[in-house]
Amino acid sequence: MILRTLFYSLVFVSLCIHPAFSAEQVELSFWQFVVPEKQMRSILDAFEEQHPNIKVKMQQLNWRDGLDKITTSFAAGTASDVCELGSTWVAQFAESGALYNLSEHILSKQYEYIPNLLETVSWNKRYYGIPWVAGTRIFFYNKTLFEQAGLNPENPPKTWNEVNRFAHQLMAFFSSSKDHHDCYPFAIPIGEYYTPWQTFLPIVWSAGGSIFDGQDGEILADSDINIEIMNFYQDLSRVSLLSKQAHIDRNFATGKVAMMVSGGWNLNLIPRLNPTLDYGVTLMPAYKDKSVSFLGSEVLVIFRNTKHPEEARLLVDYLSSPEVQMQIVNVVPSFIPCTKAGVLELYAEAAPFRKIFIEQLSMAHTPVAHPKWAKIQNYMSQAIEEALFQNTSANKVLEHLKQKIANLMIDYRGMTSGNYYKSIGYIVFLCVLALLACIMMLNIMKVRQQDRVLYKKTFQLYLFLLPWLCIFVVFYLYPFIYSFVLSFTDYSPLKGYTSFCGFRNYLTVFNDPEFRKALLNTFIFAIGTCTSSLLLALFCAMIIYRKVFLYRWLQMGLFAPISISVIVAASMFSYFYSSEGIFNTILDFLHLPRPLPDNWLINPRLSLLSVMIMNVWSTFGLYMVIFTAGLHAIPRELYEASLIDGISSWQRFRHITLPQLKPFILLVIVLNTVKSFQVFPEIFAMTQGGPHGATITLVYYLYKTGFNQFEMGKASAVGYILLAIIGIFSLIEVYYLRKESIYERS
Amino acid sequence: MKDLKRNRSMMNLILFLIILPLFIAVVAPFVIILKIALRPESLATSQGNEFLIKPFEETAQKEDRWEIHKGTIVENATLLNGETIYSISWYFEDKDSFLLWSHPYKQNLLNFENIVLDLATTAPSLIVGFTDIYDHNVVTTVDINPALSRHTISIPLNKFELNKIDVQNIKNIFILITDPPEGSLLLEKIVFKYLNVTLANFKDVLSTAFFGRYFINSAFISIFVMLGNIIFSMMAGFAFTARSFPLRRTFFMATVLMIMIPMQVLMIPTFILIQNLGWLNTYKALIIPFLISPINIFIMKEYIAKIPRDYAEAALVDGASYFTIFFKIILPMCKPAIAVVGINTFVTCWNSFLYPFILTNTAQMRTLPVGLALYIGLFDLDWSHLMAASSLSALPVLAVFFCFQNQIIEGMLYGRARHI
Repeated sequence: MILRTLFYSLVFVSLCIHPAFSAEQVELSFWQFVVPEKQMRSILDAFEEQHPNIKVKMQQLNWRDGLDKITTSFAAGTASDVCELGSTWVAQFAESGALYNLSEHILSKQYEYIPNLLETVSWNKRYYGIPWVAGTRIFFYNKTLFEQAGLNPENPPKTWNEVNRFAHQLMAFFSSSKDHHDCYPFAIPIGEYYTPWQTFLPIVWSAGGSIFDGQDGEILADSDINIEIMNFYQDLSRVSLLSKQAHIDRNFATGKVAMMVSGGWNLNLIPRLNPTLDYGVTLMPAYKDKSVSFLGSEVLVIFRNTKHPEEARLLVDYLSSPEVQMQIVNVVPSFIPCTKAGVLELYAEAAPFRKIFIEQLSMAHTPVAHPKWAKIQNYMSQAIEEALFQNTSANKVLEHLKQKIANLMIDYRGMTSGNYYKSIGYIVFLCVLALLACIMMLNIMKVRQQDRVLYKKTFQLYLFLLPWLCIFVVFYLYPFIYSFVLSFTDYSPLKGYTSFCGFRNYLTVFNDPEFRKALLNTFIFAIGTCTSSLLLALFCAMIIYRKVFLYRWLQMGLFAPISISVIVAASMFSYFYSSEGIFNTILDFLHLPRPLPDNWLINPRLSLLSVMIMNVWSTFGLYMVIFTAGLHAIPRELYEASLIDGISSWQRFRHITLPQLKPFILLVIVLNTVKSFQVFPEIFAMTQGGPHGATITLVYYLYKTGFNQFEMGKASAVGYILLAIIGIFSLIEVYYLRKESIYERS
Repeated sequence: MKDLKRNRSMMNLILFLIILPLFIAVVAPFVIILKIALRPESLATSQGNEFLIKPFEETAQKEDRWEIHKGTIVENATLLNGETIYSISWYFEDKDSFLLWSHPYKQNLLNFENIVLDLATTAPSLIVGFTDIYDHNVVTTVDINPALSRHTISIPLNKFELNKIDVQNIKNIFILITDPPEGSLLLEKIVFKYLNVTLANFKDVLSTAFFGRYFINSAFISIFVMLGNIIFSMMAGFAFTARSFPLRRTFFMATVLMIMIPMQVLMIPTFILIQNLGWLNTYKALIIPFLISPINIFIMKEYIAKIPRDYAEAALVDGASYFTIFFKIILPMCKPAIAVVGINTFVTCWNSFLYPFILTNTAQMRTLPVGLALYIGLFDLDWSHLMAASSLSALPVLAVFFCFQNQIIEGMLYGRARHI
């Protein structure tokens, strides 16, 4: 019997060792942004056919939140095996040791790639990613507008000075012509993180200047040439549409913008929006002698913690092969292949407009790869916005920029490079246990002094609390303490943490002018939206309570905005606030002057107000329903009595309705305070804290710090500061309202 | 009495007129959402209701690409079944643009009412057809009136058997002339006339493989979370108010603290925790952590505290257990709070985005908002589909609210009027 078992198990083991059986199925996960799900799947199916033992699970990420997902998963050690990253993210991930070293792979094919692109994937002389598809920017101009303004449509500007001259000529024409009062000669992207510098830096590069040359290089932000260009840009901005890139593209397609710098997606967008537009494209203008554009790329990387590096390399190999690259650029025509062969192949059969992109490719620069690029680009965009919106002198702006980058570099070099610890789970676990034990001890000591018999029945109450307690301790208390501990460390989701740093995070945050601005904005936002949605909700509830005509439909209509997802509502409102949107139409209809710039979300004075309007629109319906319920709960006898006494309706409102509604008002105020102090999705989807920090709020600041700049420790500190603020506010509200109601009762 | 009544209805009318503008302002975005969803090409067709294909004589580069030049047929005859076919296969503007019809933009043939060909020809009849990216064809024959020198031919799209091809991925439109062997054709333009109103966007959204799945996921998760929240928060609220017991204050303060912490701070720890539990990409991860929410407990506790304690105390003296009190006395009196908690939780859960996005990895597990977000690109929005999808996703919430608004309000009435 034993022998037989032994025999079978031996056979089994040997079978397992046998290669035919051990070639088990490997499952790779692959996350990507650019290719639509369907097309990517068919590309991957072909790969699976070639390698039957590999299965690829693909996840499509979207541009807005993809990076958060990668970061969070990476922090937990479950990021995908193969992933697509934007080229400016690579250095950050590479520096933190998150990526698999692909130098061998690249070096064997070094000369096949476009050389510029290899710079973006290298860090410390090693290569951490494979360029997948690239994109660049070229110059678009509207031939019809050129002709009307007396310019030669076949002679697009060759230098930036010409652009400026043409722009002023176009402006003179637009202001004299009646049909063209809403046209702009040029457009400058603003109000985002990445597009402002993507248009500005090429001019600097073309003039032979530079802002930042990498870690050891000198920071040349305030060199004479940069100041000259910033002055030029300020001059150009007076005749330009300042807006987000997507909005600029749309305006160009509808013939409202005469010249712009933009990317390949327009070749699809324009015929779709306005097939009759007569436009031309040309190489980027030069500032001094050569035309230079911005070059960005999508990069394939393998994460360090993959379990199947060999298979992942096969997949990367396959995806970056010229054939697959060609397939992808055929599906997503705004991209260009990254290999020299692929570019030549595409050039041979491409349409003339697309050829310009390929020609531009050889005259395009990539920004320096640096782990702190997320911050640097933020600073640059801020500097550009400051120069254009507040008309601060170029000198000052660039000096300030230089100072900021220099400080950042000092911080960066001074960063402790000790051992990084990944998890603080056990510390937190101990903390939770200790906390619970402390509380228990304290309470048990109390119990001893009291009557124990009474507590027998009280035991049932603990049963009531049990489900709450379980979930609470696991999913609230544990993360709460975890992040509380994080707020005292220099934790980064990519690297882990090195050491305890006490209150340093809290101090740095308080000293950050951006944080103070966020604090101020949050207060304005919270107070503004709380009062207005409270009053509006109360007002509507009073009317609906009287059962006016169609009150049910009214109620549903006013409640309806809640049912729309914030993302969708934010997209809708971004459209309403744009130049051609409904808000400006109303202003025109009333013959009121439009604000300048007339995209409300780009206007530093109006953007916060715009977000507040949208927030009130989407939330006050719920409060209205709560108030309606509250009104119905007021006993009718009170009203009847008041009718007999013959008091005025204001007095009735003041002395009967309001006091009776008090608990509901309290509830709404607390709910509303908490929600509006924590406002995030609206800001995130509509303004991203811009323009020039006009809409940055605390939670957005927190998000930016934690998930874009990966300083989770600092971000947690912001969270706890916010907690303290909300706590104080709620306490004041509750205390004040309670006190008043007691007073009234007596 | 009659006077009073007339007065009342006058008052009602005035109030109605006061609230109407507000109502219109609030509802207007919905009308626009619906309008975009029903329009064939959303914001693009604001000027003119047609999609135009221009002639292509501009650049010399195009000469050798297309088989037709300046309207006359270039000698490019192929023999097919012994017949001479002059193929004027006409790609839109240039070869790449067939992508106009394909995925990210999805300009759908179903969005069009008819196509209008503006041409002059000597041929007695033409065959007009479409090819999709899989090289399937559909054709229809058009007779030409030889008496005229210029022809404007309008072909309704329902003359084609559109179910035979992939209407969303059209590669080209072609015109074939089978007869006579020689002749000329001068093509001025082809105009696609949009439908005024179309359900094609809704159809696209619904036929996306996973939309139904997103919907079911969202509904399943939201209902569970809502029920859990109602029950658990009521239980906790009751326990917090029933009487003093050890730890009560501590627990309640902790709950209130949790309301105030922004969830972005807790995101990474929660994710790490769920990953350690092995719950990633399961319904458990999307339901269990959200079964309680501190704000609901706060609402319930505040509400239950308002209920007079006499009943409960009397019952306690009579020897009833807390369970009896909870089910027999508190539960029936809590309806208004249940309504508030229910609506609030359901709506929040239905629209929540960040956690479902981070905690799921496959299309099968996505919820509606996560699916919707995929329509938003870096530089462009797929407006028509986004709006169609979001109006579909808003529908259940509105329907539920409309059906139950009476119950919600009456429930509140019941709770209060009887006991206070």
